[in-house]
Amino acid sequence: MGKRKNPTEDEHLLSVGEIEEKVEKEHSKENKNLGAEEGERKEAERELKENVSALEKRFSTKIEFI
Amino acid sequence: MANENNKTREQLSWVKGLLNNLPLLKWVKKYSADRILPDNKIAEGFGIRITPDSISIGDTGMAKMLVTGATFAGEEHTRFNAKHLFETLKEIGNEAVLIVTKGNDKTGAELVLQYNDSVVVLASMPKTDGSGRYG
Repeated sequence: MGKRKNPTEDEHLLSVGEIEEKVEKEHSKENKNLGAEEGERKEAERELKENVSALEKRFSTKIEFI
Repeated sequence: MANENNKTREQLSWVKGLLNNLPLLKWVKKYSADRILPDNKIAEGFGIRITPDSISIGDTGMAKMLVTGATFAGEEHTRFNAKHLFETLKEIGNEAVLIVTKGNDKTGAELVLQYNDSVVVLASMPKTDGSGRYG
């Protein structure tokens, strides 16, 4: 049987403050991603409205999707 | 019973055509199937000749539309080679604005890509005869 490794010897244990900082960072990254996705979705909705309305005007018809 | 079998075969044949339609599958994978139109009236309005199996489907924002099993049969002014456009966009990116110059009936128009403070001019495809028609 080999010598059992003591995790505190070669692994850096994070302090509570460091863990909180990491969690905070991850949350802010996620929030940023969600914000970007929301922005893209709104932009796509605006584009859809504009383009559909232009097509409806051009062909004097109501456009609906399946 | 034979009639039902025939009907099923017809339906499956239609589905098979759909599954073999690579441009349509790629389109749906990229933009989803949410912009399928119930008919091809808009496509016809653009001068596109359709078939009974044609499907009209837009991208997420209806900025572009794919019509399967179709041919453009409307009036045309100038043709451009998509290969040249693709090569140019690969080099300059997709932030450019595409401009079709006014041109004239003899020479056709030119395609201009304006990006930042630079411009790329793409020549039109040559017409096959003096009447101004393409081959």
